[in-house]
Amino acid sequence: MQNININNISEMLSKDERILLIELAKNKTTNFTTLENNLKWEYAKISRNVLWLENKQIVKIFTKKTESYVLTKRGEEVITKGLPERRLFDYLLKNKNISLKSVGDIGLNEAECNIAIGILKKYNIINIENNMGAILIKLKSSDDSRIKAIEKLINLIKDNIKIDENKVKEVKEVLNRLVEKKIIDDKEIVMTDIGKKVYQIIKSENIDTIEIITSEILKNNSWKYKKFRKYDIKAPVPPMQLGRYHPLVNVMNMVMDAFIAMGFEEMEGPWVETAFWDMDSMFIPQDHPARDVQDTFYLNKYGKLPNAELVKKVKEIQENGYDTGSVGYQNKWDEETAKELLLRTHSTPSTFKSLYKGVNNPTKMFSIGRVFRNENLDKTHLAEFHQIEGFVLADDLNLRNLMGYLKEFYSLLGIKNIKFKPTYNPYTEPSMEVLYYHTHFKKWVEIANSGIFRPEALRPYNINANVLGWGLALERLAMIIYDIKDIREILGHECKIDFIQNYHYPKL
Amino acid sequence: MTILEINRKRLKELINKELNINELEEIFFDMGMELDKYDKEMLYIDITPDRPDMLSDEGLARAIRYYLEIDKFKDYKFEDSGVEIFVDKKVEAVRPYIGAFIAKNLKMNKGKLNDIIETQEKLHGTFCRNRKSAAIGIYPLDKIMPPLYYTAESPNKISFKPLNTDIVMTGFEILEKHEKGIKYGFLLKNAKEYPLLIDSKKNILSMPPIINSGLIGKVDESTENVIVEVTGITESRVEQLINILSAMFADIGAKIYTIKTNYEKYIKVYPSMKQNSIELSNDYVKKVLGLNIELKEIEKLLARMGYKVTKINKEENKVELVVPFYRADVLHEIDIVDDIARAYKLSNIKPEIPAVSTFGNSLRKTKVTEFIRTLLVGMGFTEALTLALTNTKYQYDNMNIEAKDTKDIINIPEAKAKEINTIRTWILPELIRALKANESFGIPIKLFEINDVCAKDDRTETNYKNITKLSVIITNQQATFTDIKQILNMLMNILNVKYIVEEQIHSSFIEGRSGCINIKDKNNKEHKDIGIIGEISPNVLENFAWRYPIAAFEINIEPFINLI
Repeated sequence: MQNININNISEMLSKDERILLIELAKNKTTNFTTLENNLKWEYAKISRNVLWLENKQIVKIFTKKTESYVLTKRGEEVITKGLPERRLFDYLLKNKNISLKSVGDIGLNEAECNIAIGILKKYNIINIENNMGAILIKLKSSDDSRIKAIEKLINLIKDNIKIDENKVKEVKEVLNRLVEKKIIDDKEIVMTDIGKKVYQIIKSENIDTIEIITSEILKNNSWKYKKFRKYDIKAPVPPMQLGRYHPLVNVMNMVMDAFIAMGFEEMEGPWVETAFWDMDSMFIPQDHPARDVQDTFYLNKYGKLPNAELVKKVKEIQENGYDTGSVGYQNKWDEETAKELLLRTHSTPSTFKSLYKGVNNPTKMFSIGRVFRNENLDKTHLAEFHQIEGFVLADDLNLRNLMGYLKEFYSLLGIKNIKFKPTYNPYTEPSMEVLYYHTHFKKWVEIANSGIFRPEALRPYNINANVLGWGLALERLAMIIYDIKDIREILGHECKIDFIQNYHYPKL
Repeated sequence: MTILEINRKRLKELINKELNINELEEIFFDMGMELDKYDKEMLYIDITPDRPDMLSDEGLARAIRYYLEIDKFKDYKFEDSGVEIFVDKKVEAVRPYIGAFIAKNLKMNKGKLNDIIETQEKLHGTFCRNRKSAAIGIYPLDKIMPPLYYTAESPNKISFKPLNTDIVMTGFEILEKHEKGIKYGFLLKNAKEYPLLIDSKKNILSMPPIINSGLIGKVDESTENVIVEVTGITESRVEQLINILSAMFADIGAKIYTIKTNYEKYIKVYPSMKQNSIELSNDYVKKVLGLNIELKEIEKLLARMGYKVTKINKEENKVELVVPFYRADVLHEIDIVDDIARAYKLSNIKPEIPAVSTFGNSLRKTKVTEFIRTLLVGMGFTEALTLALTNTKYQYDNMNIEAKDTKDIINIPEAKAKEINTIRTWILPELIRALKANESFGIPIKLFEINDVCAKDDRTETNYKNITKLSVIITNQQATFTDIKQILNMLMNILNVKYIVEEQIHSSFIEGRSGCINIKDKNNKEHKDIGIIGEISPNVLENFAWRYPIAAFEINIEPFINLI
């Protein structure tokens, strides 16, 4: 503390901070309400300046838990409308006596009526008389001092002014529904030793320092004769808005960079496809469960098939294996089923359309695009997501090469620890799931599916080379990178702009 | 994902070996299954759909016994039962194929019965495609008088007491009222006659693929001998399923007898036990796996996956092998190579990057969209990524557009999520929804999205295509035409594209404050109406319950791709 330069601090004080400090010096401790009353500043302004003084170690803030009375909802109503007994009393002052039936005319509801009559009777201000069945209320006394006492109490409570506990207890019955006890944080501001020293300096000082440097000040040379107020350069600053890439696009670009670095060319495909390109073209059987309406968005419309020769080959391969050495699915293949329009369930149609159009040997290609599944929407499922897909076509590619590419691909994305598990896909064999070790969950988590394309899947396109492929969900990767639990936070209109503007550099 | 539940004690009995959880987990992993979860009593194992033969305790244990070399290849031998099924031509129109076998001396108990029923249901849900391609029926042999007749009858003439009821029902009534009829009735939706299996005394065994008779179709804990029957719409599926079931019943300890199915033109004996003999070249194994494995080792690996090697041909570097009859997933040699990899263990295979030289590149469209993205971010816009699947309410109704006037509209008829009934044709409405979802963020908000939408195109196979659009939106206390035109102008200048905005009335925008965007390419060719710009109509704002003015534009960027 000895090292703190008191002069330096005093030079950092803004005009408002000085005013506040002078006010604080009047008492040993001060609370916010007192400051509001004495300085006539808004609460926000006081709290801001107190915080700055606290940062400069001029004041300390103590939070005391105190029990205090606050108004209930009904109490707040009374503040605007008046106490029911007051309203009835004022009315009686003008009219002397009224029938019970007409009490409603004052605008009191039944409950309020009962309260008002009960209290006024208790105060001995009115009499109730039965005049041949009609009940009359008569004013007996015009002394409203007891009503006034209650009103005073309520107003004090409203203004958060401490009141004598005993006074409340006296009229407990009347106040019962209007006020309640609450534990509140009462903040007290106390000047520190530093604060007291700073105060000694500033109290006699002429406060005429330069606040913000303006072109005006530069033009009129006034800066030559005045001091600059020193800023508290450690003080926090308000946040700002900025333009920003969507976090998912950021990961998309990371993935794209990895593919391009490995020599892959980009490809794309449309969202609406025929079942032929989505399924049949790659040896997915026509009774495959994924083709159910349950899982796929069908449009109840039909499209056209590509050239007849290709369709014939696909049909024969599915039915009996054609000349691939396979027995096929030994199931009748229906052309109409292949014509059904759907929203693509994966991005692999792009791969097979590329093979159909013809590619060089060797070729490496990738795509990143949306795919659609007929799902109920929840934390982990949307009916659409982005699929990342890559394939390598070359002579003599084998399973070790597939593992090699996957290891390299994930290592470029920052995922070093992966392992492989055998699995089943209709158009690849062998097929492998890729798992990586999630350091947060402390377990192995699936991140991709991969495999060597089956001979039956390649035969229609007259491809003799080997094709390796893999696919993964972009959202899944992004959720790992940004540590997100709900997919709706990363895709769709519900994404928080706050997150889009403030996410950190993607890193694994 | 199909989960097989198996009692840990039972598995231990079946494989005759005590394995701890870590060992089990590793074995399942290496074989391509997954131990989904476990507790003190049970294991829950995820089995891939290519292995229906492993969907029973016995089937799973059989695979593990081979894998751990506890068992060597076992030949199953079934005798002829003498029982026959005669198939009426009438079933061709509805469910043409049937196969069956007899299993005797089951030594049935409650646990066994439950396991059988569970396996039956699991197979129905997966391999049988919800009973569509095949369905299993099991009957007490002793209550049935062979031979059996598989026929079809009009539903109002069918009348019997189905399982789990006391009421005699017609075929129609079963579909309407019986629990199973309601669940599987769709399988007979368009059928004029329903399949029926009856015995020589004209007693009904079942109405496949819906329900058994309660009278002679009910198997219980006291049933020792059963007929297992499969009907289906594909002969191969029926045959495979019968094979799988017969192996399972044999492993339970029953004695299996074959049954002859008499079709009009041919006779078939079930279980067929068809075992394919295949020649597998080691060169092919090497080509696929990239591994040099000795023939002796190959033989061992194959045995661990349940195959039987009948001959090793050293000169030609190949083996001859037999595929077990219960395997439905071996279509091609490649499937056997895959099994070799599983036995070899993937973690024993070393990754290797081959020397394949290619050059990477992104699409020109990707480069252009990326460039536009940097410009908008530079102008302080935050990028949104909204959903393509949405509702016509947002896309058209809320935007003051008559949906029926929109030619591009795509109906999605059967979405599980109620919110979804269409795919977007423009992005702007989705950006307004994004504003609404971010109400607590405050103003101003400046958003953009550059992404695909769907559009009609008669030249494609589907009559639809994707087009990429840019949508930009500003909302604030004030958001004027000038504010948004500034952005468009800046963008067009940097992209070096000549453009004009021509007044056009659009029901989503304030009249007199909106226009269409026309551009000219390098050859001075005009591309008209490629976008819309303006101040959003207060009507639209009201529909979205958004209380601040919005200025926006949306533009098709496809014409730019070759322009800049």
